[in-house]
Parts: sequence; structure tokens; C-alpha cells
Amino acid sequence: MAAPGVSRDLAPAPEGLAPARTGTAVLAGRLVGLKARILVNTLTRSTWVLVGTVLGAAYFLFLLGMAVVALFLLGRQDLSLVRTVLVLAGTAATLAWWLLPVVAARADATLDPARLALFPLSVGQIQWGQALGALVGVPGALSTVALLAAVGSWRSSAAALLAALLCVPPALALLVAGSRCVTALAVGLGRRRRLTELVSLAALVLLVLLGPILTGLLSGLERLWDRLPQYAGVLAWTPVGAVWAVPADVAAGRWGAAAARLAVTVLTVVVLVLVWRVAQERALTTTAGGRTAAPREGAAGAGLFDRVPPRPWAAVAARCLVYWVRDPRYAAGLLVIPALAVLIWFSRDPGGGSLFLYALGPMIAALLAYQISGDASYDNTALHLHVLSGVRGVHDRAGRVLALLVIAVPLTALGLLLPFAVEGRWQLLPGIAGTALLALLGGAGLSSVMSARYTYPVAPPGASPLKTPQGFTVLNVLVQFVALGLVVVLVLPAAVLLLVQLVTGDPVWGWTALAVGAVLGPLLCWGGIVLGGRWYDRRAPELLQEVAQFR
Amino acid sequence: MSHQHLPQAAPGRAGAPDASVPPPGGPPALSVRGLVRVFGRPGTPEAKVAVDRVDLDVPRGSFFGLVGRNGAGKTTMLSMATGLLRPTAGTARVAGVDVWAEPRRAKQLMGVLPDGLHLFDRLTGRQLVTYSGLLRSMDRAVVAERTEDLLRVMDLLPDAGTQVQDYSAGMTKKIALAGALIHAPSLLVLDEPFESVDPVSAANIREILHGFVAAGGTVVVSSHVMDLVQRMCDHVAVMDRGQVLAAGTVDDVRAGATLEDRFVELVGGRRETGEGLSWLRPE
Repeated sequence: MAAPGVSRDLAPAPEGLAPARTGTAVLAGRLVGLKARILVNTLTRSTWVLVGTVLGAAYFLFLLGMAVVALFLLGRQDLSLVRTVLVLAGTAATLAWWLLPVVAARADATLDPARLALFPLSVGQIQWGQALGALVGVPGALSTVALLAAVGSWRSSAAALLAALLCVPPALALLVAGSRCVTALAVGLGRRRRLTELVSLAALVLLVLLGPILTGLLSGLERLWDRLPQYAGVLAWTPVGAVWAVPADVAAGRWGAAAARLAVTVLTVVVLVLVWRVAQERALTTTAGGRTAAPREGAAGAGLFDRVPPRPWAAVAARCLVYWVRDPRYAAGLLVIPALAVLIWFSRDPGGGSLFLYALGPMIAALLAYQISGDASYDNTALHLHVLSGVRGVHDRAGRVLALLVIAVPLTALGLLLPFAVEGRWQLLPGIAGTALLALLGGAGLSSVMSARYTYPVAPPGASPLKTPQGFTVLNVLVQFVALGLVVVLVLPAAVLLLVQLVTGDPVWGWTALAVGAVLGPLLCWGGIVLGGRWYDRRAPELLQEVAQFR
Repeated sequence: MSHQHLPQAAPGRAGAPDASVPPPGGPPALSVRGLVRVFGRPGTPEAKVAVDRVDLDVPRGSFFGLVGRNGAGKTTMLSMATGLLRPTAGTARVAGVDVWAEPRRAKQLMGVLPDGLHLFDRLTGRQLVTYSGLLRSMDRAVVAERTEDLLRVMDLLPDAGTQVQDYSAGMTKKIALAGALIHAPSLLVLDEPFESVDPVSAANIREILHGFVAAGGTVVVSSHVMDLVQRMCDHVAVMDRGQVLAAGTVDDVRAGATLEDRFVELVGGRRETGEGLSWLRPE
């Protein structure tokens, strides 16, 4: 079940890199070979990874096919339209190349300079290897094909076609140099842990908000459409967009503009390579001992631990609260809440009358309650402290639920009341409050049982919350689906009563829903804690073994 | 010591008089019988026997060293003895209390420092030690007082307010040890306690441990540094491939030789060096 350690797979094959006096081209070639080998090894590590990759590849090939077809059809259009579209698309692709590696928390660290620092390689050699290595791999291959298809879009003018073909190498250089430069800079920043945590959290928020932002943009698309050529005109003079407009200039005979844009591009690439080189040199020389002084806090006292009752469950709750605040993996769960609110806000029917907005409270409750179903997995082997000190399962479970409630009750209340403050219809409040109660307390009970028995891989301690954990099995995924289904089932009693109120208009049903939530919620929560605690008592060592495998 | 249970008694120790062991009152501090751990499903080809029918007695009041190569089964054995890993077969008793039948009572008697496991490292050092105490339902005033004492002797007071994840490897070891001591256990089980600890801190820790033993406590340390064990411990057990090859007082086990030579002799597997890497010399 345990996935083989990544480090083993990624360890560079030393035999090819050892000779000191080898040509740059040969070494760069070897680095590319190494990258390709790692790609193949990663893909063939297990059948399921391979299946996932094939499915992913099919998806991307489909997207690529669509893009190629679109670019082909674009070739039939007027050159000015081709220019607008390609400048915009090209700029977007460039930015994606530059920024995605950071957002994905340095996903591609295979040719990380820190790993290569021990080998006698010059910075230039590593740069060449990394640059070519960036093109080996899924994004590189996709981009190259798309770039060639884009060249075809200029086919209505022979001069533009030729210019576009000549622009392919500088364009690729722009993509790769920018990407590697930003990655190298990010590695430097990565030494400062808290900064990295902030960056990846910000990236997460951005990802979650991407949907609403796009929706907002689409609604304003009518107006936007007419302005696109204008935007393209401006972008065509920026470092990220210049290269994409060169063929149009050539076709129109504006040689000066074409040369200027090309100069902008080449200059950009040169600057990027130089910055990349400096960042790289620094990374190569400061590989070890990058520890920075940590901020101190409260010189005396144990903070929250001084204020809770001296009981195990209270200690567990205090510890969990510290983690909710300090651990980005929990903070990520909290950050989803405002994102969710924005999402619901954007998807609501502006005319009113939509009930979707009112789901905010119960949804926040369910999401937060579900978060602690991974608690044992988040603890990872730190859980050994609970096992060694013989904490009772009930105390362990209750402490975690208590911390959750401290966090979730105010947030849920806020999410519950906000829609009413905006839209009115206060007569629905009791019913929805009952639903939220069931979602929160029932969900907490469910999570308490789940995290004692059915664990699933999460990002290990200290890792970015965006890191994809290793060792997912079909069972893990199934468990999560079943759990989410159970949350829906748990909420049903109150939700059905609420629905009856909506149909009949009789507020009694809403109050009944509240009563059901107020009675059933605590019961489910208590039952979950007791059952989860019993399971924990029975199999704490096995639980520890299970979560120890999540890396 | 009950030698008759040892599967492969060391020849050097076989005739050793039991009189050398201080006659303890009551059961041994730690007693392990027929302990087996098989990883993977037993009977299948992937099954790996990590600990193979180990019998071991740690006398009360002894400073006990457990030595063996990497992968000899030391950590697995200690994990089973401390309640972290369920044995495939066999029993472990702490002062007569069965670890797996009465885990809570047994765990009250033990302080454990595991090797290579995460800590709750987003807590500050002081918080982590306090947490260890509170988890054991200890009185808050006692916890606070002992925490300060422990931080002081571990030389961690200046960093008590720093999150443990920012500690160096040696500091992390020390804070974990502090957490293992807070409830004043009668048996300490320490897995590789001196790894990456600086010499000064190691000396401090040794002093604490010796003081603990002098006061009647029992310490079990695992290590692969023979020299350290020979100097520090009064009893030793040699493990290899999941089995105990020899156990007894250090003097009995080493039988006149250094512990290291005796260990190599027992474990075997040492090849003639110097021949293998004839090219390994500076040009």
C-alpha cells in the first residue's frame, strides 16, 4: 500500500553526471535523458498511476486537438483577428508557463539545482539541461504542438507564415526561460518557510476564486469583446505579448514595429536568463543550512495550554486549535469558506427568489465538519504521542470536535445569517438553522468515526497544502465518496422538513426542522465521539501504522 | 535474568553467575516473551519477519543497551514493547503489567522516545512538553513546574517559545525526551537518543539518565554506537536479524574483548577491507 519513496525515484543517476570535463551539449543531453527517465519511472510506478496518466493524457490530447482545430479555422479569418486572438492566447500561455510552476508548489523539482549541486556541473550546463528538460514532458510537448499549429494560422500571408515560423524558437525560449527563472526565484523564496506557506495559500485562494472571476468576466463579455483588439494592441508591446504580434507586422510591412517587438522579446529572454543564472548560482551555493531565524513568541507560558482545563480532552482541543491557526493545511480548509461565499454570491440569481444563497450556512458547517475526518492523517506519526500517553479514544475524539466547534460555530452562524440580512425571508431561518446544526454536529460525529477507522492520504506535516499526497488507493477514494454521501443523508431529516415548509408555506415545519436539528445533531455528535473513541481505543496502534504511510 | 528463554544464548555469557545482577524485588522492569512481528501477510512470499521470537528481561534499576545493525529489528521490538506496534505474537510486560492487555496502566509506567516519528511540531517547545503532561491528566501546576525544569536541564529555555519545527535535529531529540520524562516514569525506553545530539547535550542527557538510574529507574537505550553503550550501560543485548544473539551484563557479553569486537564476532558479516577498493586513494 505504501508508495515507494519519491526521493528514491528522483535521485539523479550519478554515473552519467560524474565526468568533470564533458561538453555542455552532452551533459545537457544527459540531463534531458534523466528527466525523460524520471517521467517514465513515475508513470510506470503503479498500474493506477499509469491509468490515471492515460486518462489525463487523453483529456489533454482532446484539449490539444480542439486547440489545433480552432487554430486551423482561425487561419481562414482576417489577419487582424488572427493577430488579436494569437496575442491574447499567446500572452495567456506565457503567463501560464511562468506562474503555474509556483502555484503548483514547484511541482517540477526533478532537475532542481539543489539536487544537482553535488555534481561537478557548471551553472550554464545545468541551465541548458533544465531548459531542454522543460520541453521534455507533457506541458512542453503540448505547447510545442500548439505553437506549430499557431504558425499555420498565419497561412493567408506567406510573409507572416515565414515570420511566425522564425518566431517559434524565441517564443519557446521566452516560455522556458521565464518558467525556469520564476522557479529558481521561488526555490530561493522556498527557504523561507512561512513565505512559501503564504504564497501557496494565496495560490489556493486564487484557484478557488478562478470560477467566480471567470463567471464575472463572462457576464461582461459583451462589452469586453469590442475592446479585445485594444487590449491585444497594448499587450503586443509587453514582454509577454510582443513575440506573438511579429508576424502580423511582417504581413503589413511594418518592419520597424516587427524588429522592435522582436528586440523586446530577445531582451526579455536575455534578462530572464541572467536573473535565472544569478538565482541558480545562489541556489547552488546555499543548498545546505538554509535555516532562518524563527520568530519567537510569548517568552513565558504555554499560550492556550495555560488557559484550558488540565484534562486530556481540553489539551487535545487546545492543540487542534493551534493547528487550525498555524498549519496551512488546516488554514486552507478555512480559506475555502470566504471563497465559497463568493462563489455562491456570484452564482445566485440577481433577481432574488433563489434559495441557493441560503445554503451557505449548512455548506460551511458540512465543509468544516468534514475537515476533521482527516485529523489522524494530518497528525501523521505525531499521533504516536497520543498512543504512548494512553489518551482515551473518547478524549481524543471529543477534543478534536471541540476545537472544530470553536472554529465552526461562529463561521456557520455568520454564513447562516448573512443571506437573510441580504435577502430577507426570515421565516426560513429556523429550518435552515436546523439543517446547519445537523450538518455541523452530525458531520462532526461522522468525522470522529471516520478518522478513527477510514483514513485517507493527505499532505504530510510541513508540506504545502497543495501537495498531492501519495498512496491513494481505490478504497480511500471510495471512503470519501461514501462519507460525503452520508453527510447528505445526515442532513436529510431537517432538509426534508424545510422543503415541506417551502411547499406548504407553514412555518411550523421550519420550527420542527430546528427541533430535529437541535435534538438529533448533539445525539449524532455524541454517538460519533463514543463510537469513534471505542474504535480508536481498539486499534490506535493500527491507526498509527496506517497514517505513517502517508507521505 | 531468565536465560533459559534466550533462543541463541551467547557462549561467553552462558555460565555467567546470576549473582552479578542486583537482586530485584518483584518482576523485571521490562520483560518480553516470544515476541514476533511479521510485516506483510504471514505465509506469503512478501512476509518479512522483523522480530523473531525474542525473549528479553530488563532488570529493574539497570541501564540497558540494545545494540544491533540497521534493520536488526531494534525499533520494531521496542515499538511492540511500548505499545506502538501490535505484536504478531508474544507478550511484553512492564513491571509485570501486560502492555497489550492493560495498555493504560503500562503506559503510565513508561516514558518513550521513539526514533524517526513526527512530533506536533507546530507547537512551541514549551507547549509540546506541556501537552505531553496534560495528555496524561497531570496537574497543571506540576506540569508547569516540571516543564521549566526539563527545559532548563535540556538547555532549551532560550528556545522554549520557538516552534519545534524550527529546532535543529538535536534540539528536537531533546524536546521529545523532555516530553517523555514529564510524568516521571519508572522505565525509560529511548530509541537512538543520541543521534545528531551535540556532545555537550549528550553529556547532559547521559547525566540525567545516570541520575535516573541511581534513583532506582530503569533505562533502555537502543544504539549502534558500541563504544557509547560499553561506557554508559551496565547491561546489553545484541540483536541481529530479528533475534537476540546475546544478553546480560556488559562485562559478561563482551567477555574480555571490547563490545565492538564481540558484536562483530556475534553478528558476523564483516569482510576483509583494504582489498575491495584498491583504487580508493588520493591521486
